[in-house]
Amino acid sequence: MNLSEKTRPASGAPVLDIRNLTVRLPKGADREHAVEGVSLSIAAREILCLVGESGSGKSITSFAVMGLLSKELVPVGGEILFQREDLLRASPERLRQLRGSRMSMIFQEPMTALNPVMTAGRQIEEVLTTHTDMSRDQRTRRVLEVIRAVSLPDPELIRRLYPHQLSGGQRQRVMIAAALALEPKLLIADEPTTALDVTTQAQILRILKEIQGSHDTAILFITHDIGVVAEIADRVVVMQSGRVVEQGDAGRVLDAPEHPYTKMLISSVPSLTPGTRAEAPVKPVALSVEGLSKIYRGTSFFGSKREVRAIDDVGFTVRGGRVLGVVGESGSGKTSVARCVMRLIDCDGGRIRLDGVDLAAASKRRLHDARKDVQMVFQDPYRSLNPRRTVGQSIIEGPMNFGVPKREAWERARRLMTLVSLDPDALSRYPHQFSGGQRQRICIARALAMEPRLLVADEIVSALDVTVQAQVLELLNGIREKFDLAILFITHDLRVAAKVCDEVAVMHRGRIVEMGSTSEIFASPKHEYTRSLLAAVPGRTWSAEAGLGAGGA
Amino acid sequence: MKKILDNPSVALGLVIVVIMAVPALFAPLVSSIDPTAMAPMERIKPPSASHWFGTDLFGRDVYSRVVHGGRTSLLVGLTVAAISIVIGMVIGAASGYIRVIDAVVMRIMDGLMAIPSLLLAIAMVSVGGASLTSVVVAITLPEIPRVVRLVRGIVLTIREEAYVEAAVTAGTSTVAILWRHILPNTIAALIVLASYIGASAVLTEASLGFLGAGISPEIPSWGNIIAEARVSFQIAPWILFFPSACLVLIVLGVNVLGDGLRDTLDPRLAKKM
Repeated sequence: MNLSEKTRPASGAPVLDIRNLTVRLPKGADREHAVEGVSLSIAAREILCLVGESGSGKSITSFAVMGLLSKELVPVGGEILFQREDLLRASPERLRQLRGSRMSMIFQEPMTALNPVMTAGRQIEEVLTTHTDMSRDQRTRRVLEVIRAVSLPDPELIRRLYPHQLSGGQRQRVMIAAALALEPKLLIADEPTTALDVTTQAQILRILKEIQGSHDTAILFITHDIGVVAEIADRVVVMQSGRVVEQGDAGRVLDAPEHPYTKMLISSVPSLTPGTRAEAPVKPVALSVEGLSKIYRGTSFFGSKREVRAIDDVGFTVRGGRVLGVVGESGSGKTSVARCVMRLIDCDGGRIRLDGVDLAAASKRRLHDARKDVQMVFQDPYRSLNPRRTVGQSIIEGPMNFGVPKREAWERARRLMTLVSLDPDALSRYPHQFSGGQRQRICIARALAMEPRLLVADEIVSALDVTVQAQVLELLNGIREKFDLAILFITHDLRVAAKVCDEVAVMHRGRIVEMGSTSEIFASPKHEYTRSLLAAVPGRTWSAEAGLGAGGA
Repeated sequence: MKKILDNPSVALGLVIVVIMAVPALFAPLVSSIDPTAMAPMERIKPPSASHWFGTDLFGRDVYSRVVHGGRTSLLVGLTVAAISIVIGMVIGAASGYIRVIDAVVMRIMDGLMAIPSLLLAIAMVSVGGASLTSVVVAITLPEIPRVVRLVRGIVLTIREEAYVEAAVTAGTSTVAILWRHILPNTIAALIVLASYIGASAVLTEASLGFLGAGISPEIPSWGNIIAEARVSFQIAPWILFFPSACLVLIVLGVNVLGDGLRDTLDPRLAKKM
């Protein structure tokens, strides 16, 4: 347990003290208050993690602190004391003075949070120009200082680069640098690592810990990831439906959660230890891919040709009833593999064999027939169902394309709805009437309606809350067994891969660097890159089972 | 639907358009006088109980001419809007979805956009003679590229949606994908655009009539009534006033309606136009 090694926060008056904060939602929302009676406090040199699933009110709490609530959201009760000053009663001018100088915020999406037409240096400098009367030289010196403080290489160069010339992790570090430029007393980080790769996430978390050590800053860290909490939190506040259900020291909350919701949240976190699975009889190969490659060609502004090898000589096989996980960071080519297998894009070489048919070379006619056998579930459940069509229409579309009579297709849709634990009568409803997890179930039902032999699942749980994630993975597992389905499971999350995959292929820069059974790869990774990926998984030293075990005792 | 009518612009625009359109639609019922019947004894009479809008240089009833002229104007507006939307939607959808033809189609559209509709109409009328068809064609042609660009833009974004890809993997044919999954997304924007095209077509038709290049003078249209009234403006201002007022009102009404529809149906467009 690494929690005990953490430096104890300095005692004294809290930097931020939220008392009984209540924010009203506009009429017609699903509940009356966005947050209700929320109380929490953070001391200097303390990292407080605010944990909860989407809609729990954690972001609204932080926006209320910064005075950035949208007009419809009105704080109707409580107080937010920042260094003993009530921010809810402060004038807009006063809030503007405080923002950036004494409290600052970093956001989830570093690409949209930075202005694309300003250099990194200018954006950091902007804070200094607004809040201080430093001379130009002083400002430049300070900018270089903070760039160095967030461990960016070559500060002189970084200062002159534009956001698009920086990687996601570098951009997030520039954001942190800008937030730290004036040594704020309070730093609010709203899911700052959610959009980043695991290795980058690990770096950002390390930087935040360093800041905590070297500055007097209090950090309010908002996250949905229990792993991240285990990694950096001193104290934890758990929110559910706008209320604080539990708070306390990180070690205590993680290892001995008291509230049932916290317990459920923690037990839903997949651990990095692969589950044991009974050795099934070896089934015939459903999909075999050989020498697959895909090159993206682009012409740059001055006419020089650019080539990106998205997939480079990739090969694997998936047997019926088995799950092959393709893991890797963004840009590793894993999604391109999925799209090539689906023939949503054409590959530049190689074979994709499904039941003797080479999908890569199939004619339009053959391809149309083969489409029935391979179905896909997409990442974003909010975009993968046509909002203007009922879910029933969406589910029966595929079977009807292949000549299944409407009545029969509808019957099948009703059976599948039951299978994915939804009400068959809900077929006549529209997608917006369902939650994200329910929509993902519908997408799975839609894929199954075609009675495919291979299911391609592209990051199907990454947009879902962790408790919902667990349910969808459970469902997928049941389907695999029931239909003897081969599943190609694309994910960036090694914990998810450990939970569902029989075999894992690790992709890096378009190549498979390591492939083998899940237990082997997680226990003794051979490739350098696999090792660094595994090492970067947040909270790897803490495991949910151990935590709950202690909690139950 | 009720929500759309709650918008004050939509309600106001709709009221104006209906007030203007109903008499034009039922022209033979609301005016018993033949708009082309000349009455030399009744020349240049100011508005009165028997001739509500007065009479013109030939003694024709201006009210009846304006009402019948409204038919022509609205007919042109509606047909131009309908034809350009239908053709533009087909070309735009094809261009946005089938990448091979996109570059060629869009260059043709760029070319069409360079033609001013007034000049094209004058050219067509002087070559082929003045008729309703030639006027409609001349006004429609330069409007098509606007529709194509709008539809193509929407198709380009929607085709990337996961639900379109899901339909592809479900074996849905290209035409069905366009019809079922992509084109419904363009309806709101197209209704708005249709109102603007309709309004500008009414204006263009009137301009053509005024220049003498429009529909032949036997058929009354607001444009040619105004053109004839121009010469007698100082002695008989009412002949000029009533058709002009109608023209201003209908264009204003349609534009207000279009603005309102844009705000309620398609907020995305609000900043672009």
